[in-house]
Amino acid sequence: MEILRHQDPIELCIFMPSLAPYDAMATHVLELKAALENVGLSTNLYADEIKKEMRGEAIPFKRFRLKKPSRSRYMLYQLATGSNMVRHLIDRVEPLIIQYHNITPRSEFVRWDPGISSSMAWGQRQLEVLSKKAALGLAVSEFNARELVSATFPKVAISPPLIRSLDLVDSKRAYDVGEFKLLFVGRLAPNKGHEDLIRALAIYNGAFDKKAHLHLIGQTVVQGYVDYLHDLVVALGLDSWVHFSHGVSDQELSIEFASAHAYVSASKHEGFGFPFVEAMRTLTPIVAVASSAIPDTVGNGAILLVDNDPINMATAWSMVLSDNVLRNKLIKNGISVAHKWNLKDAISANLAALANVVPIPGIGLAPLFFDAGLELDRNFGKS
Amino acid sequence: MGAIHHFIPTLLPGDGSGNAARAMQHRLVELGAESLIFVQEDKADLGLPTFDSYPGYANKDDILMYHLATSSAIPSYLRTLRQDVVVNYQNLTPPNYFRPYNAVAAAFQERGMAELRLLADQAVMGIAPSMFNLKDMINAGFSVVEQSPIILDPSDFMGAGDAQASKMLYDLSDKGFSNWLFVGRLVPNKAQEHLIMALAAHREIYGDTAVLHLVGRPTYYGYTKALYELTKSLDLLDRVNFVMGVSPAELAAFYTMSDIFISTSEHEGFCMPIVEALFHGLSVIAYDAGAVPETLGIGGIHLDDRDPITIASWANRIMNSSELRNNLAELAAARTNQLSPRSTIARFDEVVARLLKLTNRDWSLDFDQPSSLVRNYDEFGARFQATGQHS
Amino acid sequence: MKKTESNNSSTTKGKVDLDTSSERVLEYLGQSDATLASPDAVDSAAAAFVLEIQSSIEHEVKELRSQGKYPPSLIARVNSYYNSLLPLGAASAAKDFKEAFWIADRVAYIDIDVPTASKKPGVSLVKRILRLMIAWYLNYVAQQFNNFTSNLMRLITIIDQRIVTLEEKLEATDFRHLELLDKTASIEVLAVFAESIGELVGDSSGRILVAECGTGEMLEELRRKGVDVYGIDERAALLDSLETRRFDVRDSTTLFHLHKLEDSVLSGLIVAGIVDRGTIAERVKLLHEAKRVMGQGSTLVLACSGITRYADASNHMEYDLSLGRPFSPDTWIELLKRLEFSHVRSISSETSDDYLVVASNTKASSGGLTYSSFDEANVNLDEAR
Repeated sequence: MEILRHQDPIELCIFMPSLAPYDAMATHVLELKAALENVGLSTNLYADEIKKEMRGEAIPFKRFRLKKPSRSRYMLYQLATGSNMVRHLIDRVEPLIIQYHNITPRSEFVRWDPGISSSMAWGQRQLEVLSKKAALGLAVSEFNARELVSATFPKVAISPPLIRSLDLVDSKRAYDVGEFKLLFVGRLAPNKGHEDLIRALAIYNGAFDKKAHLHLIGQTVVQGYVDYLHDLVVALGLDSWVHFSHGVSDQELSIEFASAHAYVSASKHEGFGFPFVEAMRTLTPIVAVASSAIPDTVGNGAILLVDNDPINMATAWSMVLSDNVLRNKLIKNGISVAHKWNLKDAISANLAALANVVPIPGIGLAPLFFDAGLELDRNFGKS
Repeated sequence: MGAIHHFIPTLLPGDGSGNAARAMQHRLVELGAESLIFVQEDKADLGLPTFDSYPGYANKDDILMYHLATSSAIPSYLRTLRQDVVVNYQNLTPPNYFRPYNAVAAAFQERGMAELRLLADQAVMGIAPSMFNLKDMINAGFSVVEQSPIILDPSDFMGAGDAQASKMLYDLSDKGFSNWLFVGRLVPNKAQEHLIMALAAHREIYGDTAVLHLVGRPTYYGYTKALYELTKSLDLLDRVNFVMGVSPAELAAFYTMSDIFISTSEHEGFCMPIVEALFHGLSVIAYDAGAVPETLGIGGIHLDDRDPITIASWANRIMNSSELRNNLAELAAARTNQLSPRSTIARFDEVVARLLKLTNRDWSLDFDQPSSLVRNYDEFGARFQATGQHS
Repeated sequence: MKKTESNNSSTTKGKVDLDTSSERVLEYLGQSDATLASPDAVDSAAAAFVLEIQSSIEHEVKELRSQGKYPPSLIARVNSYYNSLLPLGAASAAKDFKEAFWIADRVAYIDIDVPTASKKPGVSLVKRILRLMIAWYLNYVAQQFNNFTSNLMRLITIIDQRIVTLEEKLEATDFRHLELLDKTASIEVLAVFAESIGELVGDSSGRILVAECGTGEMLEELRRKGVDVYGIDERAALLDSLETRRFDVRDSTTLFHLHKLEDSVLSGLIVAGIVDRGTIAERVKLLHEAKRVMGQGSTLVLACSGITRYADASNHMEYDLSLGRPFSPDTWIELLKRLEFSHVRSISSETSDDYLVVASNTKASSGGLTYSSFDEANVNLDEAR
């Protein structure tokens, strides 16, 4: 019996609701799949919705639903939104692991778009449903890990996201003649705080001689929010200083990073914050509001602001843009922080975290971030 | 006839919530009901069944009592059962106390709160040792709630005092120090820093004549370190005794040999150590917060703030007036009597009767059956009185 | 059993002794230091770097403000666009409420009339039969849901009524008239007393706030004495000119600014304007907030207009637009005493009938130590290592 099971190859099935190109989660999943295959696991990727460009990468989920249960199969579900996959997965007998990429709290969206906000509430609900079934929760940051603990996952481990770095390009910093370029990359959704960047830009350009352009790159999520941003830009007379773009290729994005003088953020909610790592890697100093997972991600590689106060923000920008000593220190710190998130280490960390449930040959166990059993020990015991 | 079974995450000898569950189980068996304790994990190897083995014992008429003092896997298990559920809410600490020291522990407490709300839908009744906790239960959505104070089982802390600990405390008295005592884990909601500051104030005003014994396990690194740093900066390291864990005999020695019990805790669901201190006739000074005012009752001095000078001057006055000390001892005895098993068991019986009526169980329980807990208590009490007079 | 137990414990010598207390704590801390994972000990150098930059930003902001880089009028203009353009329910939402409410009400009801039309032959019939068969189930679910949402809508309606009532009350009291008045009596009152107030608070070591600083005479006097002083006012033109004179000034109303301050941060507080023109509630609130934001032993100065100012024609507009009757010195003194200020007294001017009310703040002992100061103790220990 033992021998028979040993010969059965371990199969790990990864599930994600939607597989689309230029998507950080897709990158993560594909890298993880390759890494698991490398250590000899049979790995399949299933998705409910597969975009045209990604057709060869994944198997439609409906085909999995017909599979017979297997003792050597493990399931890994990538959670970032509500999906119809969940109700099938919780009915399966195979051990289930959740990798949690964060769900933006509904409150950030409800006043802009109740429709989108209810899909977040759905995700939140499913997170709790899954916690009852999951053998392990994997979180991409400590911030996420704490959310998994609150959602009653019995065991939680940290598994950093797998980031495929952009090619480094040698581009001249744009606007070299007396103007700066600030960059922010993130979907146009209210939790990203674009309006706070625009407000601070109005104050910065009002106060300092050498003015700055703000480049905002990201897809539209909430139309009403985008309309508001455009109105705000016009009202503040910043038409020629704020630039929106979306659908940029990897190469174009590399150029954007390479040509920016600083990466700025007022985001109120990030599950991890991939672009921050990209900024540090491309030697772009960061000024960000310290919210959610951002402090964990950037460490001392950024100026962290305590809130969205526009005067503090504009001042911090001017310090980064004009003080070369500070600038170099941030860049130097940034390089070592970015290195912490390198692909190789992140892959090892993911495998070690998974090994808490999945028997992966030759991989040691990562320590758990949280274990409900140990926490019970802490709460009981003699005085 | 079904049974009234107990579910509790863990049961350790000497732990407050475990003792409370055991006393209830003990009484239910005396009443003629079948009653077992199921745990999530049998950490102390007491041979108790785990909660997921319950189906082997199940009867559809069973009533299941869950003792909630922390987050555990049991509430979601109970959700899957059709038996009637009762919750005994022993207390959770609000997460904000832990957040600065351990964000994960705080999230764990939040989970416990969520489980209390979850159980509110399902439970036929909620029980809590104090009105303070009952309010939490009502806020969580319980519609039927009953107070049932913790049943005191003096055998837990009434053993012979440990000789060496007794001698240490006696020697301190002999050198002219008064022994201040607080019993409870080193956790932020118990706010031991106020005791240390009161001791500092006492030394400033009345001289170096008191020692503070903090009996309790350290729980959070950051908080323990802060207490230690505070003690050090007030130059009190040789006057504050961090007792990091005790045997029952040592605990008995601390209760027997100390002079004053002082609590500056901010959040308690019942505060058993106060009852234990009253039982030993100590003068009790306590800050009125959480369930403390209910538990202390007429038995001691209530403070509405924690000004170190106020605490120090009360302690000084108590130490310098044998008349005050005697009066407080009398009040403590009176309060102990109110909280004695005779009355708490009568109250528990009422709650059980109400529960059976509420759930339409026509079981014939023998409520006239005297309790061995009462008998134990009376015997221990008598022996204690005798030794007390002797010394 | 008991016996062996106590014997055991007496062999582990001094396990609960006072003499060995420190050893026990240090042993525990040593173990935990080694075994507890990183969360507590996240690279403390990195944390220090972040804090250091944050404080240098504060410093830089102060410097830039005093250089007039951030004229309050610019900030006010930017913020007004920022707030006024927010859509549906996000900011000044009274007018949007009705629209949002009707949208919510429309979607708050679900029916069970599932469409059954189909292009494929026969499918429509199947769908109709299916609908018929599960109607009992859908009905039950829909009823519960609709019952829930109707109650929710009722709750929202009630909350709206309560808020509207509240808004009406607020409109009656929250009239920002100061912007209309370039000149107020309080400016002259502060000028009259600048020197004597300077003597009262001139040797303070911490920050002093001048609330409704006007044309800046008081700021000037205190800066001359080397005091760390800043001012607030609502009149953008006055503020801009003060900034170019390198004063640290902010655009805010007195109560709003005090409300935003942390406990015990001010070493002195000088208030003019609101003491003449505020409602009774505002003036009482002022004293409560002052009590909170001022440190132990710091000085509160209320600069009040004398009665002849009310008769002066040049001040008529100011007082016509104000809400409350002026207080006499005795009323102020009584209120301050009740709030446990000490050394409460009034000082009258030799040249006018204006007067000052001066008081010293006493703080009830709250036990002092807060959790944040524990954290500081931790950080200090880290540094010591």
